[in-house]
Amino acid sequence: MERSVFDLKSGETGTIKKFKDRSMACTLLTIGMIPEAQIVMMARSPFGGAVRLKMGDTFIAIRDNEAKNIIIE
Amino acid sequence: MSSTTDQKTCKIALLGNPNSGKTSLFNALTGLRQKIGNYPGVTVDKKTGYLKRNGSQLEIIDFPGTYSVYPNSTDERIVIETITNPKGDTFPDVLVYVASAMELEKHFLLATQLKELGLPMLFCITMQDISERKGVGYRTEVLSEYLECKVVVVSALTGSNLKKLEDLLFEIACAKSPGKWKYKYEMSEDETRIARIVSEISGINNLYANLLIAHHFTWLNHLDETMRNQIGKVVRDQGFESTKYQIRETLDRFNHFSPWINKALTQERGARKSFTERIDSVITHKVFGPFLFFLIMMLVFHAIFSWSEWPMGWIEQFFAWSEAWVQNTLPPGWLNDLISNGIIAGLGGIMVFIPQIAILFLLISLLEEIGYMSRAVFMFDNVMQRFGLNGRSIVALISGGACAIPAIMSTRTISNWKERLITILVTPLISCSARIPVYTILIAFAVPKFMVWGIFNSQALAFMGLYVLGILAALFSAMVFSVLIKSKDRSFLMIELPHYRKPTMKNVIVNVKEKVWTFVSEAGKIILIISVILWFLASFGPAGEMQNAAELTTAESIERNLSDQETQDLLAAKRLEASYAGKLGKWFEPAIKPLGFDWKMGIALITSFAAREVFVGTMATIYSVGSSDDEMTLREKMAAEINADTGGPRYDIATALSLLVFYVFALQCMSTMAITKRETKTWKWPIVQFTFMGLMAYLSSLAVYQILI
Repeated sequence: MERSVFDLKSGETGTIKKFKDRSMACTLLTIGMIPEAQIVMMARSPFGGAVRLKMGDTFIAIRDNEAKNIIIE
Repeated sequence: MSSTTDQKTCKIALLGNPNSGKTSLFNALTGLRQKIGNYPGVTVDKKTGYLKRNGSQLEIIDFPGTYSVYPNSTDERIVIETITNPKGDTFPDVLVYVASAMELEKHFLLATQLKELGLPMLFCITMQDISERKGVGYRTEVLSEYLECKVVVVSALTGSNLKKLEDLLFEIACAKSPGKWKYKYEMSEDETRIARIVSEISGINNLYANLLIAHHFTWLNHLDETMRNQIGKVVRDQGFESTKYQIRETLDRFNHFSPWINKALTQERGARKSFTERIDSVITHKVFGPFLFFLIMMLVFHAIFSWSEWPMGWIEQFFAWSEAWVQNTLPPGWLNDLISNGIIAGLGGIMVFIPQIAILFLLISLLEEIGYMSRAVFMFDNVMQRFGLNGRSIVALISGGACAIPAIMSTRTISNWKERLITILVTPLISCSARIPVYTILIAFAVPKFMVWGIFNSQALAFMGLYVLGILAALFSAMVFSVLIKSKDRSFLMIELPHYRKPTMKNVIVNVKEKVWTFVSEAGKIILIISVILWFLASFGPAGEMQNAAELTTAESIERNLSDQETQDLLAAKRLEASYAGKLGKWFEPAIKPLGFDWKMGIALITSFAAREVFVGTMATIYSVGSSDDEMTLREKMAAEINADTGGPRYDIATALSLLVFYVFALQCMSTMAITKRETKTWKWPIVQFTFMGLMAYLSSLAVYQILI
């Protein structure tokens, strides 16, 4: 079973392997979410629906849908 | 501008990612001497500032932040629009790329893409101070070697190296030679072929710019229809897949420059838990986060009301004084009346909102500067989505509490068109500052004053209730629109949560100034024009009837033994009744009668189109207390009015509530309609907006009045 960024537990780190959806990948790539980048799951949004991530020194929020699209190793 | 200065003006584009410190640098370079204009054909604000030295002038343009040349929102598209159009007015001579030292890789993507255009470039690293504290520093000579351009480290905060940056800008601008450079990205055969064919159609030399045109031809405004069709045909015939090549290019660039950035690093990055992380765990906490948000919002709105009281009083007094001065100084006649009651009153009606708008945007800008607003977007995105909105809509909805005009303009950061449109449509339902005077005067009739549970004032609670009603109406309408409006656009959220930092006051001040100016220039001119039209409607009427009104007044004045002032006021009331506005009010009285309104309120509803608060002034004239600036006098007059049909007071609870509800929902603001038209580029949406809000107002008022009566 493939795991995605969405499946990461709070505080857990994952390494990006690939993206499921190409057009979504385009958007994520532009902020440096590229294969082999390390992503740390920080927390989920209080009302759900979005996650807060850390990549290097950058904090980024994306929706659950987008997080599910990023497959990790 | 004369041609000699034109020749010496060099255009400099300030480009970079969002949160790169670009705007801080722009503000530090150009100070408060900035101009806001528009890019041709689009509605994105163009911010320009000037630097002058030894007869040469630099025009610095601050572009919206973007992550790459593949934009996500309307705001970001302007960058691509500009750089792919060498014949355009805003095409730069020099690029200044602003990158924050925090995450250089992220910034290199756009930097290397822009470098391909072959323009002279200066690479500017900001926030090195924060970064060095965190143990990250770079050898600029390595970066410079890779980028084939000068690299300078500056701090907008401390002002260090700003002078050096200025020197370099003048040096590069005067030289105007791009120097030698080579493509960082090796295009595939397919891309090269496409770019070559497109270059024949576009007439642009730079191969990379042509590749971008092939990617974005569907929305680039500078292409004419023939070109667009030709390029479209090429793209289809060649089977050019935009996303595939976009991914290829992005990955290729990262692979290319990452080793160089590692080489330039002076220290290894540490992995300690940052200050921002610790704050975030509290501020975006499951329970405490939303709680804190509502607390902040309460404080913000409390500040709007309490801080603005005095300055608003001064502004009102100033305009009242000016009106009186003109009235007494100029010879009596229609010109005197037009200037005092039309123009000055109209201007006063605009200026009086400035304190509230300034205070709200001061606080929003502070929250933005600190880094809080993006956290609010993150927290409420899901809630907003349920109503068909976007997390970013929250900024517009809050701003709507001051004025819908800057609020609607702030929706440009919402990338999904449908979500943006819905935000624009429902924002005017949030009670803006123009509704406050109307609420204040009517609540006294609708809600008797008493204490609730010994601590809350019933009228204050009713006031809050009206706000909540507006918010609920906005969310409900958004939900309906999200079902009605069809869209194939993908909805997504990707927002950077910047590191918390001390706000730069200069940025805050520039932002507040900008928002206030937007209000004054956009809403102001419309309010002023409508004020003058309304002045005409209220001052003139069929000649015989106006004469008649004067005679009636004289007779009544003698009979009731009125003082001069009282006679004046009575005359004003009689004249208004006989005027075109009075006629209009009477003409559509049957339509508003079921809501409990008479023709007097009808006149007030019409005049409210300039701005809602005009309601109060109109009522004062109708009730012959035009000369009194005491609101209590008006309130007493209104309270004493008897409804001929029922024999009870005219402003009974049912009527007052009905009128209140009407003001919560109705779009009585021409300026908002004009802005909606500008942002959606068609009259369709302002008409939809006016109609749905009008229907909502009419039906709710009808229901309220019919149930309560």
